[in-house]
Amino acid sequence: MITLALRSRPPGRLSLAGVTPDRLAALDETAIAKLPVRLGNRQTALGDWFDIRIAGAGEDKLVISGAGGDRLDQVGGMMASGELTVEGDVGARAGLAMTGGRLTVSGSAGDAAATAMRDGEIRIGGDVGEALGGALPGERVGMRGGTVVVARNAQSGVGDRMRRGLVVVVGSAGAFCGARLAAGTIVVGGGIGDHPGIAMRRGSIVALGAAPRLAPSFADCGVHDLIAQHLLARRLALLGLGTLASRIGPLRRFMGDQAEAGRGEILVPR
Amino acid sequence: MILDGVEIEDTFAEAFGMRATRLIVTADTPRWARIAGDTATGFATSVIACGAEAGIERDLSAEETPDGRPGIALLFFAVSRDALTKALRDRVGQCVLTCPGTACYSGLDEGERLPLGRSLRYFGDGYQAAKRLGDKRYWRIPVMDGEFVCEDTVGQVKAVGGGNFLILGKTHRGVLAAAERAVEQMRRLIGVIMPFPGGIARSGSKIGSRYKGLVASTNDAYCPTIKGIVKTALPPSVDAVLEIVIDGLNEAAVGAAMATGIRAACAGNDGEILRITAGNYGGKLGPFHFRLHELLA
Amino acid sequence: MITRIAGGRIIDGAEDEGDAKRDLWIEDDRIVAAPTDGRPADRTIDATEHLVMAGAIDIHSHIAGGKVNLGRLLSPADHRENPVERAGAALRSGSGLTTPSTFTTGFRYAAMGYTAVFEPAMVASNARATHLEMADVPIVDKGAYVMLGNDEYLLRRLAAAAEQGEINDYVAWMMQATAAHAVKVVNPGGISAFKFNARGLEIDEPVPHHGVTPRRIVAALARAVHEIGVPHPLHVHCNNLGMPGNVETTLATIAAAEGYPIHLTHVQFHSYGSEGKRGFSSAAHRIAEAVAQNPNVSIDVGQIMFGATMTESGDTQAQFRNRSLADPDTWISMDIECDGGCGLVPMRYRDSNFVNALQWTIGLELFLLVEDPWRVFLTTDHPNGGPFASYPHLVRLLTDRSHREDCLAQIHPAARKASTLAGMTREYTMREIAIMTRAGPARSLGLSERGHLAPGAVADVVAYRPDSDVAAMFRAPAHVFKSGVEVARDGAILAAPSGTTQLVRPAYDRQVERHVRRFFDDHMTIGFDHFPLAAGELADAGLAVAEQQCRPSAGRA
Ligand SMILES: [Zn+2]
Repeated sequence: MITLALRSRPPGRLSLAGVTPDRLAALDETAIAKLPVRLGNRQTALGDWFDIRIAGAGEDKLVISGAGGDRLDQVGGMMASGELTVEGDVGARAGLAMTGGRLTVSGSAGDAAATAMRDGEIRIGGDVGEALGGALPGERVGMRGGTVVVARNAQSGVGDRMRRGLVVVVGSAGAFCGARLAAGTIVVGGGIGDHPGIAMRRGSIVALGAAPRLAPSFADCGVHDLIAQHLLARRLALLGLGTLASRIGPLRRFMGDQAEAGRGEILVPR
Repeated sequence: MILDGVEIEDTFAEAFGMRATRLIVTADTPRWARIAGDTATGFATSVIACGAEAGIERDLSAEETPDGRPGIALLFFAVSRDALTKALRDRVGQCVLTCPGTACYSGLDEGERLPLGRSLRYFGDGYQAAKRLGDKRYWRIPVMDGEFVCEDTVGQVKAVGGGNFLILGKTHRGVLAAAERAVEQMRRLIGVIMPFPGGIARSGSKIGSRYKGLVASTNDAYCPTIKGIVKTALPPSVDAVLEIVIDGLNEAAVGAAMATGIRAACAGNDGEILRITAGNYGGKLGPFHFRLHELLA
Repeated sequence: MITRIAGGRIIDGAEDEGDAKRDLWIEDDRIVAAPTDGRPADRTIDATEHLVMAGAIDIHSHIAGGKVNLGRLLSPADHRENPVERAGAALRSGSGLTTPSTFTTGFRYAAMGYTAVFEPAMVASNARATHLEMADVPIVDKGAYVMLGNDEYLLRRLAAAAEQGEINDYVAWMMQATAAHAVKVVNPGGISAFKFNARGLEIDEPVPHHGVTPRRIVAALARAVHEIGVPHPLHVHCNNLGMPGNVETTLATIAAAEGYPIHLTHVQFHSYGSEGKRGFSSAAHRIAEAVAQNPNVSIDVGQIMFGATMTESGDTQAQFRNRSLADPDTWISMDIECDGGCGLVPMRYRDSNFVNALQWTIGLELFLLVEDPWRVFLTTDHPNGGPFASYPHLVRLLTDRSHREDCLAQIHPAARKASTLAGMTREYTMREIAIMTRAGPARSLGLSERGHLAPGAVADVVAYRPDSDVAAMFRAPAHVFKSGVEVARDGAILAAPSGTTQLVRPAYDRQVERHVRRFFDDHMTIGFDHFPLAAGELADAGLAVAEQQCRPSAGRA
């Protein structure tokens, strides 16, 4: 296991893209300390910011600790395998373009967590900022696969332009949740803000809190207890979200956005 | 070799390579899962005219299925990947998709995947939707009682078809009772099916025919009513023969099923059963040879 | 300030004599003869055994203008995945490999020993923005070619059988109005035809609305550019880009020039036959023959390099055809003022793809078959065939046969079999490289003070540390001087002076402005008085303008 202890809160945004367990596993402490990381637009070395400790070899495990992690961007970025655990908060774009492995953040994450993610699993213990699993400016799609679980609340734009994968927000989600959704599944345990699923083409938004206000371009298709709901509940249970899974019973199905392809669904309590 | 007073002939069953898969069909109740399973595996005794050989492998409890409902495991065998693909598409399309409350999943996650839901989805006429959960991809096809959920693709393996043994006895009644005992025990096993009616075949066949265009015809050497005029394989006291044919996901499963079946057929023999033998083509056609003495050793 | 670059091997393509081992002297921003008065150098650069060449000149590279920004817009991953840190207090950060940001473009070129880059597809209506954007590209000298030949005014005048003199005046006026260095015609008539829903246009096929043929457009423009004395010949992007069998179009275009000088650009995309099982074959040898037989013709290759890139072209018709090849699946096509526009299609060239693999061999065949290095220039049509950052590898492919054959062994087997590349033994010499990347482009563009190392030349000088891996040598030269300032060392940027804006201002009869004004009043959304870049406008905006002279022999025919 490799531990990176942040000495103090960096004076600007520090990008940790590529500082991942799979890439660090083969390196010794000196080599890890020399890894380039960008502070804003300047190149610095990982060792400028972190105390590095290696305990036991051959494990794809990396722990990042220390206060001030909210300035660490792109934590877990490009990770392909292994386990990265953050004790504390992270900044923007956590799990950027991840293709595998598991990123666990005990605290909160900033904007655009899980963006461009393709596979793997992200667990956030606290809240997340905007555009969880959403598309970056200029990108045609957001998250393309994998699983993200947020234990508390998410701000606006959850799963914006998302194409595949599962996003679970145990707490509430802000406005434009699932906007422009291309496919994939979003489950929100708590309340959900305005304009959910606006311009969505396919995919599912399961809003288990109070019924959200829907645009008139979502058509009521009645209350159902579909097999797909059972399968989703099973998947949630496997993720250790049994309580949330038990809340998936018969749900009212709205199809939309009829102003777009209109093959998506928003499932809400009846 | 003598087993419970029955002579086990020193011969072998000759079996062939096939392609096989397992489907899991779930429904609201065990009864409806069984109806779906019976229908989907009907008319599937022999690839010669049925396109596939199929059968029910076992019932599944709600805890064992992907959607937490009661289900049934079905095995399908065909001569090639393409034939298997077509058989699955037709059988699931006509017999499961149509059956109230059912859903259909791959029960085998090995080998190159075959399309299933991917082909059937077009029934949804544009209203179908894919749903990926974990590493599984399902199609949701709207139907009149809700949605037919069907996994996008199913795995398939190289399998073994045509394991067999023949029960030779004095009377039809006695031989049938022995065959039924055998099938009852064999159905408890995993990975095999006995595709003929009730698991039992009476129309053992040989290759070829005196009629042009017929590839197989009755196995005259084992037909008791003509034993006086053909080159018979039957001892004089044998007046009835039945065969049990076994398809299995692998060689070991077929061998185990044969051994179980033969033992069950012989057990409790009251002198009705005289001999157990097996069908082969001299060992030249099929790659799998199940020697009866080795199986029972 | 006198600098002595000591002990290098001088490779000056413009000099007839062979390579010479001698010191090179620089005083301020010029190359000078070795001082005879015994003045010592203020600084001496030890370039022992280094290859010393003039700064390289890229004759065709899309570095500015609306399409480049749209290309950046379409490739966020390129910028996300290729950040470039600020390398020093006076320098700037950036990002991007295939669509690099402006600072990164200038720094990366300079670090590779390039000191001048020409943007070949300036939409006239977008000239002001293009120049300001180019000015944002540090270190290197820049210039732009204005696109004509699909513009409504010219097509109308050709349809009305206007005299050549009038066409000449219009072209000269347009060059002044847009501060252009040369004139380019893209898919002559085809872009106009595209607006009338044509999906292709043959050389003798009339443009739907105007009834003018591409042949007529090429003839009129090639002659105009020559007669008004613009040093660089008409820069031609032929019709039918990328289409199997388009070699016929390309050869017909050469004939259409009627002996006037023309430069055929990214000819690799225009050298396709339609033979073989797949209906796609190399016609590089036919192009090479035509180049040999027509001394009025020069080419640049537009080599493709395997990997992901962005295609950015003024040829909206061809790019609309290419949209189905977009990878990732996203594209843009646009037009300004019915004057010109661009199409953007991200592309991934794969060595495992038959067509891409054959394109790769066709480009290399062109390089190796055209014998006169003065008339073939090294380009990838950045970023269309590949980013300019891949030039060092391309140089290695040309100079190192065994490496070329290693690469050939890895491509699609059917393409390898179809290509004659395997039998080609030619290896470019360093002197030939110096000609095709320095002296040749400089002569073609009329840059008399650049591309060579004679006393009086601008002190754009590169010293390469010899390396058995030619790509490594060309990727990060030991020393790069721009106008006498050492701007890069071993691939790292040291200083970031601004380069000049190169332009040519041919004379015209002001009568033409009255006609064009009327056209503007009737049809354009921008007023005639606001359209041209005013004299001094670029200088006022802080650009260092360097005007090159028209050929004195120029005159009306
Ligand atoms: Zn170009």
